[in-house]
Amino acid sequence: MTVPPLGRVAIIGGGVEAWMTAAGLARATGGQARIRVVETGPAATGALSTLPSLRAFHALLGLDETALMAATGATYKLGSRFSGWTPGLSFCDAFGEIGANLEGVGFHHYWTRLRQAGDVTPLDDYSLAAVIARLGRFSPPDPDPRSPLSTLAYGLHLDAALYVGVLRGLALKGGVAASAGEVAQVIRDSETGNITAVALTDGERVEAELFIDCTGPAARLIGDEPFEDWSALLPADRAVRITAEAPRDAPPLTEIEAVADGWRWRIPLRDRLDSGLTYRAGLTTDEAAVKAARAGLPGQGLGEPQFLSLRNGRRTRAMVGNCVAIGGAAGMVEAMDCADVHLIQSGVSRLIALFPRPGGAAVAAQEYNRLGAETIERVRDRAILHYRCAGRRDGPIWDLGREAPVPEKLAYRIAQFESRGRVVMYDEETFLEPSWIAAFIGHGVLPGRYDPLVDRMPVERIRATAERMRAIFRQTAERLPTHAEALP
Amino acid sequence: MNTNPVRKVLIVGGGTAGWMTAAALSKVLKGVEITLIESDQIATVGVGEATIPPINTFNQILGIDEADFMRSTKASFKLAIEFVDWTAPGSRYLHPFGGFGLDIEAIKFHQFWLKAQSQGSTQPLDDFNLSATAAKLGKFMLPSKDPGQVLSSLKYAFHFDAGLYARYLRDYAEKRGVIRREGKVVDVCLRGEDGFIASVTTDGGEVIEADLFIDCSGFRGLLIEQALDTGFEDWGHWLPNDRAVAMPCDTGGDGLTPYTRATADKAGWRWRIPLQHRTGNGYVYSSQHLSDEDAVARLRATLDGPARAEPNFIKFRAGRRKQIWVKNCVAIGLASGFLEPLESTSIHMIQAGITKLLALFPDKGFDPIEIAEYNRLTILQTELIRDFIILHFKANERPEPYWQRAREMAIPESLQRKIDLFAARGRLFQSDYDLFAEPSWIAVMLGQNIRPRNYDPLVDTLDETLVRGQMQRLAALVRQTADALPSHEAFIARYCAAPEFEKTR
Repeated sequence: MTVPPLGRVAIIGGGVEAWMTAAGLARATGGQARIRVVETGPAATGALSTLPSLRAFHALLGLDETALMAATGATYKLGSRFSGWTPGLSFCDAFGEIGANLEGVGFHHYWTRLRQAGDVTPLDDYSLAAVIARLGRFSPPDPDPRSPLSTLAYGLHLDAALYVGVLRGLALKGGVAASAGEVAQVIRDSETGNITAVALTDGERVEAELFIDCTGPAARLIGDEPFEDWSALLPADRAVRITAEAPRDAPPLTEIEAVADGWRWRIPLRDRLDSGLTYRAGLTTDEAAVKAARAGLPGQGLGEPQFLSLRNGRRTRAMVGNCVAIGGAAGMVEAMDCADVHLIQSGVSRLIALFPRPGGAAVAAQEYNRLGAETIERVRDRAILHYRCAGRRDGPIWDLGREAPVPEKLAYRIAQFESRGRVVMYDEETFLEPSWIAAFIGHGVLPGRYDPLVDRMPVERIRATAERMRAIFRQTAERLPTHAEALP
Repeated sequence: MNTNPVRKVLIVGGGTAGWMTAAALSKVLKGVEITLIESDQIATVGVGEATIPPINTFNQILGIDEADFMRSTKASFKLAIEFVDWTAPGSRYLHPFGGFGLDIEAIKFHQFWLKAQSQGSTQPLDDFNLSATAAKLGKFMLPSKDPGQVLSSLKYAFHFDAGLYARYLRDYAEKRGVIRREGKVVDVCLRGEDGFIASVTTDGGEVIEADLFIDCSGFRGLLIEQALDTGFEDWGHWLPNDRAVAMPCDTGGDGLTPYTRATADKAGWRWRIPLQHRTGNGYVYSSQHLSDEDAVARLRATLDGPARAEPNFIKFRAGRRKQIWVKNCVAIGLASGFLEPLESTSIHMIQAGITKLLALFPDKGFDPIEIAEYNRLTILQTELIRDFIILHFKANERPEPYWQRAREMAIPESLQRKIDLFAARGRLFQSDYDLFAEPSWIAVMLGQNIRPRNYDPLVDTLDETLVRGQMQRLAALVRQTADALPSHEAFIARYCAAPEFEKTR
């Protein structure tokens, strides 16, 4: 068989990252690459909680969202609710804006002004998405820019296995070949170090010009490349997943709740609740973790608990020669911010933007790795922020997290916000400005000062404007259908 | 209520920087007394007579009427910069405002163009940019607000008389309560306890106190450098030009072009900026490679018409102040640093300084946190602009020693990485803080003959005939749109003609 113009691409692995990569590359290469997935490793399980950016990926794939949601038992997501991180504090990190800029100054400065004048209205009341979500309602963004609903954005809660099924179907239709196999050996060119073939245990040699390691933390292809370990920065290293009965009237939110042993997630799907606990193995036994994970679940959960190991850190280089790691093989950050799927997506998008012609990739690799490192480090910083700010003192994991070293860029970011509510944004950010504001203020990092330009407006007028904003948001939200009604 | 607000601001120095700052502060701040001190005896530099599109935002913030402002500053429109002789003799290319074509399937438009070129097409990339196409035809009209119209893609800025612009903004600021003091600052008094500026003393013996001091005194940095000893980071090894000579002349040559021209010369480059009543010219050069007499002679020889004034020499150094905001003093304009106006960034850098000052406006506590952020952002933005300017010199093809040296010099790593990536497959990844967006980098990289060795391989996944058809239709649409526009001169005559404009015609 002749090699097609864009070469042969071998994707090794079978989870979400493998099939997002396969579907993305099939679409982007339009039949000019021969793409093969060697399905290996554990199948995808559990639920995915995604950011609004994933919708752009679906649009690129030409994936119909309604059909996708129906096929995957999906629900909508307007944000995440954090509770228990500091006793007595809970907040939504909701998509969309917080309040409205007034006279060119960000709303959170006016909120700080009111707060300093004794007003205790939570910031969430000024986030339309949070107001809607807490009422258990939903709306997609309104295309009319005059409507407050135009500021909304949403993500999805998806069943991972069913999502893989949809992507797989799409990829196969796009000409991707798939077969199950076990990697026996990675065969490299002795001169260049490039991978020439992956030998499978059944004796087959899978040859390709580009190899993509989607084997997760096992990193079967790229495992020799050094791994920058972040366990000193982020304390969790293990998780246990437990499924529960679908709650009735679940709001379009992912719940991220801190408990003594770590943090719990709850992702509502149409037919069940995906939940679990992320913890540190040296501090909490698996037994205790299961107990903590089950607590408060409807019916104490269904079925057997499933254990997952976590390793916070990143591969020093995710693209080496003709091998690219995407997903867990490239790096991982514990997912209280639900950026795991986004990290896969950004890896795939970057690979498409820098797609190498068979044989050459040196310059592209350098840029791929630079951008990838920036991206995952900004996500990491956000995870560190949660631990840093958590006021819990009832478990050693919280002491570890709070006392961990803070990377320089994050320290600068915290100092800027704490002092005067300045939101520092770096390049390659995953989270938008409102999300950082919500996280800071939600965790009780309140600006000591506000922008002095706020004082151009008398406080009574600020109060009246804020009250009007809240009333409009509440009224707007109350008119919307419930989350269950809104599902396709 | 903030109990410690800044009540008094003193701007030291008029000129473009001083009056832009005064105008913006008088519009945005409330309850703050703004004073500007300047001396009629000190000439302003006024190098930046050409601007870039963000100036429209500044005008909107001030709420000034565009036609009125243009009439008052004898302004013309600007759609592009034309670079002449930067590679082979006689070579020319445009760096237009706005983007090129439309991306298809998330693949950048210029990649399709690169493929067509590799197959022998000679159609310039400019054909897919309305600002460039209109510029070449000498046409202009205000863009359409309807995003469905090709005319909405027209991006523009202005050429204006910087002296008149400062005068115009002075009127604006004074109407809004800014107090102008005539005088020279002869002494700066620092507070003993913390070294903050307490007051300045004028040659008339007047002592002016303030909470916040803004240094718009130009290169010398009367406050930021002379009083506060901030220090200067010199970029002369990348940008050796240290002189300019300016000499306006009568309108002539190509006339009222809706673009700036930057022509490379023996040891630097010449600018040509057409205004309604005259053409601004200048030669930016390296005094190590060219004498002042030679520079004037070369400039004079290339004027479109009789000179309107004696040559005006300006000395400068490329680089930036080590800190731009120190204690209670913020430097804006040339006092903060200098990059030659090759990409018309001088006025923009003033604007960016003002915008950041407003976003980080301090109280009397002068928290180091705001100061750190202001400096971080300014340095980040300035260095990205610096890289873009260096690109023009690095990628030249001229034979003179000055140009050979530029070609051989080591450049910042950040720029080398960009060039290498573009040279491989025409790819670019941008910082959010880069003033110059991807199309600008593409225009200048290609213009300076950095031709990608290959195009993006994903281009081949799309049907070539379909893409070609789409490209042809797009170019035709751009061309038709440009053809239907009035000439730049006719538009100005109708929209914003100053009295002198009619006289010159």
